[in-house]
Amino acid sequence: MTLKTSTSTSTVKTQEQSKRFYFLNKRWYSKSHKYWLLGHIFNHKGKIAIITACSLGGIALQIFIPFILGDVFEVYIPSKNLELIIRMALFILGLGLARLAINFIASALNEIMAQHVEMKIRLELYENLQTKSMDFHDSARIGDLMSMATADTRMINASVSPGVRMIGTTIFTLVATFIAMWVSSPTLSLVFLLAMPFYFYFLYKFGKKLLPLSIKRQSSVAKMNAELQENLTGVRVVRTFSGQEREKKKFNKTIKELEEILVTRGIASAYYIPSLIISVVTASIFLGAAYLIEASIIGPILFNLFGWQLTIQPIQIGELITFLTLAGFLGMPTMFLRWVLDMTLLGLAGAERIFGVLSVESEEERGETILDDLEGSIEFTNVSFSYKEGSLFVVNDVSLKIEPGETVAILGPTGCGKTTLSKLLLRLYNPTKGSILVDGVNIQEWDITALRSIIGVIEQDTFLFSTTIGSNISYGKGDATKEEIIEAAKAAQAHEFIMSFTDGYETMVGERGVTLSGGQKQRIAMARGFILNPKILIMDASASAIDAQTEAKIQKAIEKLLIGRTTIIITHRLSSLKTATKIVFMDKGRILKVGHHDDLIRTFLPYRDIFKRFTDLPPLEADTITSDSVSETVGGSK
Amino acid sequence: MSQAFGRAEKAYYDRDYSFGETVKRLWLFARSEKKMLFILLLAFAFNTGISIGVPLFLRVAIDEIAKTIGVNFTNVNLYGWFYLAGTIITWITMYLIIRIEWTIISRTVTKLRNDMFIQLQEHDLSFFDKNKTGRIMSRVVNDTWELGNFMLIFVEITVNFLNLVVMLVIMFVIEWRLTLGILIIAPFIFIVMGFMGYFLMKFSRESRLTVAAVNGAMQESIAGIAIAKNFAREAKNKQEFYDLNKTNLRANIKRGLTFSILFPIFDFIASAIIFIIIFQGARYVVNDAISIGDLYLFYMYSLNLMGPLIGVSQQVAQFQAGRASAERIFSILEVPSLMISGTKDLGEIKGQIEFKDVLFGYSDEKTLFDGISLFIPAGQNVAIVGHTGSGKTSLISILAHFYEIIGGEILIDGNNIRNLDIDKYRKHLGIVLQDPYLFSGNIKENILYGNPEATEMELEQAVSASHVTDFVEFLPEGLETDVGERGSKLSMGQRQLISMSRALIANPRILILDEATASVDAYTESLIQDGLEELFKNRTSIVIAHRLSTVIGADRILVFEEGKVVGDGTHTELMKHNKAYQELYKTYYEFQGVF
Repeated sequence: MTLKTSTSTSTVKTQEQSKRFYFLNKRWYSKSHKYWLLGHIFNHKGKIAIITACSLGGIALQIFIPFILGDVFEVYIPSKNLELIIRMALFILGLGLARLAINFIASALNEIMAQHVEMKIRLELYENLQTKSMDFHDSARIGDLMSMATADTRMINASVSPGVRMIGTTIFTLVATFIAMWVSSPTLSLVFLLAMPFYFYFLYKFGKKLLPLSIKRQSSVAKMNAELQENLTGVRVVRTFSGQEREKKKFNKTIKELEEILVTRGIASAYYIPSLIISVVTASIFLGAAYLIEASIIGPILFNLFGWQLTIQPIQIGELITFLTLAGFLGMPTMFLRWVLDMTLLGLAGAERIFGVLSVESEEERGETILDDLEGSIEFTNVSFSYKEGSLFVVNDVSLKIEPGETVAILGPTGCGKTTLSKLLLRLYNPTKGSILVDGVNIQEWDITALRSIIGVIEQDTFLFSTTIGSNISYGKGDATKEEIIEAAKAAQAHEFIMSFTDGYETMVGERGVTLSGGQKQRIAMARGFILNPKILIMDASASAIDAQTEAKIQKAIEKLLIGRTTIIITHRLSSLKTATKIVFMDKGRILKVGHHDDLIRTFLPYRDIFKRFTDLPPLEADTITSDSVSETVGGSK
Repeated sequence: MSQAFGRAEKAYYDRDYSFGETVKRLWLFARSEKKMLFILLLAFAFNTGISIGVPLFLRVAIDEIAKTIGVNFTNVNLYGWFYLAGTIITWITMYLIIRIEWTIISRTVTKLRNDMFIQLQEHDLSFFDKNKTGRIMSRVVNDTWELGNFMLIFVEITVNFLNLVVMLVIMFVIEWRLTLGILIIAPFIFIVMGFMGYFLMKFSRESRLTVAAVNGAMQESIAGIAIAKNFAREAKNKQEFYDLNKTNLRANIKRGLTFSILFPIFDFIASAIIFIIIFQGARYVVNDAISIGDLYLFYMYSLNLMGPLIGVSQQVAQFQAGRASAERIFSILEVPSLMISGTKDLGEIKGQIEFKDVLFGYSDEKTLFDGISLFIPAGQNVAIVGHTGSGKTSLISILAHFYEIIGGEILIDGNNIRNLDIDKYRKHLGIVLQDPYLFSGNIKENILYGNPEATEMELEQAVSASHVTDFVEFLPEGLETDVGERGSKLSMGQRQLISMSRALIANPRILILDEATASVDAYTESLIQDGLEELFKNRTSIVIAHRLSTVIGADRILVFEEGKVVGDGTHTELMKHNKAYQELYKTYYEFQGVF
């Protein structure tokens, strides 16, 4: 697993409110993953009670059979009482029918319960992932999380059913069998009693050995999935660099590791002593009985043990058969238990992996402020941010005030922190230092959903969902009308190409539908941002994959859209920069200069450098700041 | 095992295999495990022999004890010891069986996965365009597991069948009427299993379909988490996810209930057999037709019969599933790669490129290039411009031999690329793709992907030429910084710079930049531009760009429009005579706001 377990970038900690997300009652999270799993299972107390009662009933009914068999063999057959024999046979058939009903109820309830547990755990994981910070999602691997949501929950399901039922059944069968044996022949039951501690000891050892191997197996499977997925999705890069041989070697190594774990685990799973113990006990009972019968020809045997006078009762053939049948009953559940334990341990391994993710702190979601009448002013005050504690600041002491309705362009070299700034505004990350105010209210105090719904973002890295184009556009506004969708698409210059598809707005995107070009995707993403009619609009270099002609059209449409909105444009497009009310030039996390295009082009050399290629620039002014002097200021004010 | 990925539906390359063909292919895989399979068969035979033999001893012993007078206890005790020894040996053989089965399954699955993976590396990209990742993964992950188990079914069916026959023969010899009485049950078992099989199949399909929807939603919600947060859609997504899960739950419960009735029914059938044994058999004992030990033997055997009977009927049901998996696996192993490649190694190349009447299209109905011809002499610096969808990237894809062309030929230094060793050929190409895909790992690993044998010096050069240094300096872990899944921890521009380094480090003879700096800021881009001249020296280079400012200085500019070259010349020439180029140029600069 490649998950960071406890990275929180925020220093603003809330004392009273825990940042964890609880799906179940809080107390189930206080201990380990086992306890948490138990919490999910105990949601079904009623079902567990019925399952237990049914298992008990089933065993009670079963325990009659050996006695009937014993009697038939010892008494009824020798006495040739056919009528009683038939009655007994019918009785067994009747017992069988009753057991059919009872067992079905127990097993069906257990199955229903297991399915519910699986679903609830998946839902918990889903909801939990939604509350996780972006920091977490940046580090987590999709393949790994998917493996948890599918393979691991599936394993938990398989261990809950028939696990819950089998644990009860096995214990009850052992107790009931022992009582029945004791009733039938106390002496022979001693053999059984003596074997029990070993039985349980080896059961425990079996589980202990298999558990770490199960965890290894699950994470090894996840690793294989992740590698395979990467190879398939990165196929172009692999081919470009002739990486096939290396990829083959790497994959081969991973599956060989998995093979080794599977084999080792198979061996551990095969080495199942409890079933040997039951077999030996059964055989010993027969052997003991044979010796006892031989000895008892002389009469009851008296035995002197440490001054205790023991009388060993003689044994008849009927008792022998009862015993053998009883011991036979233990064989099945014991064999079955190996399989159940095997499953349960895989389930526990899955639970541990999932619990590990659940335990990572969720992002802080404090704040309830919802402002109705929004102006759209933004203020950064001494904001600093670093992705990891102690590492360099990606955003360094940034202060910036944006008035309502302003259009601010941010530009600067790659990695200067411009995209991070917009992420901070959306509270995808929390600033390490400083504060961000929207309409004078610290965004930490804002209701996070309200905050995000007034800010529209058109991202650099466009991600579309595999649904229709229409649904993608209306993603942020579920109740959007057809007209609104088309209007937004028109503004993003997407309407035309969408209509060129046979299914128009109903065209599926992605795996099941059309393959869109980078530019088309970006235009749909733009429409998705426009439809929200947000008070604050962030556009992050969103037109990079669109050709100039299309972009010129979009630009015209946007101009209308910008009216009455606060807009932050991350761009280096001259036309956008010219129209911006304010240009913020950033480098290495700092704001180097704020100003208007006409000023900057004449006085600020790094800005000027960008455009020297395109155009004849106005003459420099005397007080021009050069790159060198800029880096000096940056270095000096660290 | 894992059902991480929705089961694959039929793919275009799936073919039907007859039973014989399937078995023949399976045997090719099983052959390497011949020894293991033989030991497994031996262990099974031992195990079965003992489970048949022990009741025979017990029968004699019980008969002996039942005599009440003149019991030969030496024999009884001896049988008792045999019994004990038998149970221990049974356990040992059982241990061997489980152990060997696991070993065989693990090895076969690994071998199958490996073979499939190797085969997947051979295909051209059209295979991956048509077959989605999830579907392929399902075959490699799930179907192989199914097939690993399927191999053992042959052994198990044989053993179970033999076991059944031997026990029935013994029972027949002792008392045929009672045996027939018990066999009345057999048709019921088969009927029950038949019904179960039908319902299981039906509900499993339903469950698979719904679980695929759940998995799809999960995958998207993780991959698109940033969008969900941006658009504050969490609550609505949750509701949708709940609904999908509910549908899946219903299907799962139906399947689960079918399963849960299975074992109670078998339990009841066991009771019914005991009923027959007592009802019918006791009469024969009373009439002295059989002994009491015989009756006990019947009891033991009929309990032992249950296992193989259930086993055989289950395995027959599994057989279909196993065959389906086998088909899916063999289909993927045997679908021929469309790639035509030779073995010729050109050694050092000059870098002369020629397209001769090339015909190409992504689908059969529509061609993109209808006989395009182009000659690029070695060392030339060519820029390609044109609207989205005009075929710029496709030209590069076929040059890199990602796809097979339908007609014509592509020549490098006069050699058809189809005759070249593809790996050696691609090593001469340095391509910076439009989508800067990074692998998980750190920055350095990603750059070295382009040339794992690169020296520190070469790494240094590649990193500084692509201006990766500028932002890496700034990272606390430098080149060792983890890039996250698909580079998610880095900005788009940073990813592009890394992918540029990755291409440069291989020191390719032909350098291809496909919108390589589209997301890089103008400032860094201009720095890269300054260095490009140096990079293009002694190399043939092809640059695709939307930003015309970056291509003005090229030796030659090609203007593309709907798969055709509509302009060819230097910037000045094209500005004079070429309408398409003038149009492009005008909109670009108008938009840039310079005019």
